[in-house]
Amino acid sequence: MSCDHSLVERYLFEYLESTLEPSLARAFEQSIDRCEHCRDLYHGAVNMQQMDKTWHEQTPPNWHRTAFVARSRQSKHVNWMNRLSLATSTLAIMLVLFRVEFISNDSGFSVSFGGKGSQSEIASIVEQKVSQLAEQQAEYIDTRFENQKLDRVSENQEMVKALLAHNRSERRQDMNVLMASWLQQRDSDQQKFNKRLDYVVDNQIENNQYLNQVLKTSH
Amino acid sequence: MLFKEEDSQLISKALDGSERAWVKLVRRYEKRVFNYCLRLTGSANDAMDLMQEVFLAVYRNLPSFQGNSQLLTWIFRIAANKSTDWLRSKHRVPTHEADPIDVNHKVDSKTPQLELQTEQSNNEIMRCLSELPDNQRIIVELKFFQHFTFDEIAMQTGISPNTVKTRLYAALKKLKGHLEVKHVM
Repeated sequence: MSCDHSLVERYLFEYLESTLEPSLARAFEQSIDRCEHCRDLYHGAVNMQQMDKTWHEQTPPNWHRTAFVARSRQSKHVNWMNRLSLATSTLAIMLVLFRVEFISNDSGFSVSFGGKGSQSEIASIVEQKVSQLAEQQAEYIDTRFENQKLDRVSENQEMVKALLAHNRSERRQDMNVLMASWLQQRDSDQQKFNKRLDYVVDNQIENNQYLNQVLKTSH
Repeated sequence: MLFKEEDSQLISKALDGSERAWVKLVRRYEKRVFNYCLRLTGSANDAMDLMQEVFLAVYRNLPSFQGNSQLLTWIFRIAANKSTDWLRSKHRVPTHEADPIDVNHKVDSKTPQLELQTEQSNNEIMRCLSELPDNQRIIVELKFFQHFTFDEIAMQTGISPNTVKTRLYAALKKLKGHLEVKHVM
């Protein structure tokens, strides 16, 4: 009967610790009896357990347990010093790059950037900057005024256009009203004329009839 | 649980710079680590070197210890890595000769006769273990002498639990043959 060794490999340590269920333990023992591989594993494990029990614990000799603790602290100190020196170097380079000068004068202590500078030079630079700013502001104001004027002209034009359009529409309405009344008047005059004409024609017809009658009677 | 709490307290104190707490931690585990290193290297001098490397790594990595596992498991994870590196770098079979490194150093035995028996017994065990390849030897050590579970050994050695078992069973097969020869002699 072939053995796949799974039982022994799975429950080897439970069997050694005597925590395996009785039925599984019996199957385990049968596997050990029948299979050489399983038996080898079991005996190897038993021997290793025996080695563990027979091993005599050795006490380590005295040694400097805090040696690397001290070394580590020293390295931290070195790191701090390195950082300080790096910061100092960076500051020095920045001072050189920006040409920073510390000048003591009558009024006390002054710091200047960008090379040799005095109070008068700084004042002239400030004055120049202020005048440039004033020119820019004046130009800006002029531009704004011109824009304002243009805006007003265009607004006036718009207003005139609107007035003219309004006037034209009023005129158009007046003309329409006038034309309507004129046409109405014409119609009424035409009707009156037609009535008069009818009246004249009727009179003429009556006159003719009368004349005919008179002529007939005269004959 | 009590030990774990004490470990965590000692760790926090050691991280705050307390050398006394660090020494307490080292004293608590150094014997197990030293014997582990001794069985793996077969030499007391090499075991001392390796143990110091382990505790140096423990000290350096102590801030990253999360407390997810027991400190002992974590220390032996470092020990497994360090011993693997050591065995690999040395490219040599352990000397399996326990060198006397300190004249004043005494083993735990009482009498000279018992001391001799102890030395012979330990030397025999180291000789047996030296027959194994490095990767199998570390797993046998962690399983039978340190009594870690397969999952813990897998975590410590960085391989799967199945590979751990395979290596362990291969080692047992090999050791069984060696022990048979020894018993015949």
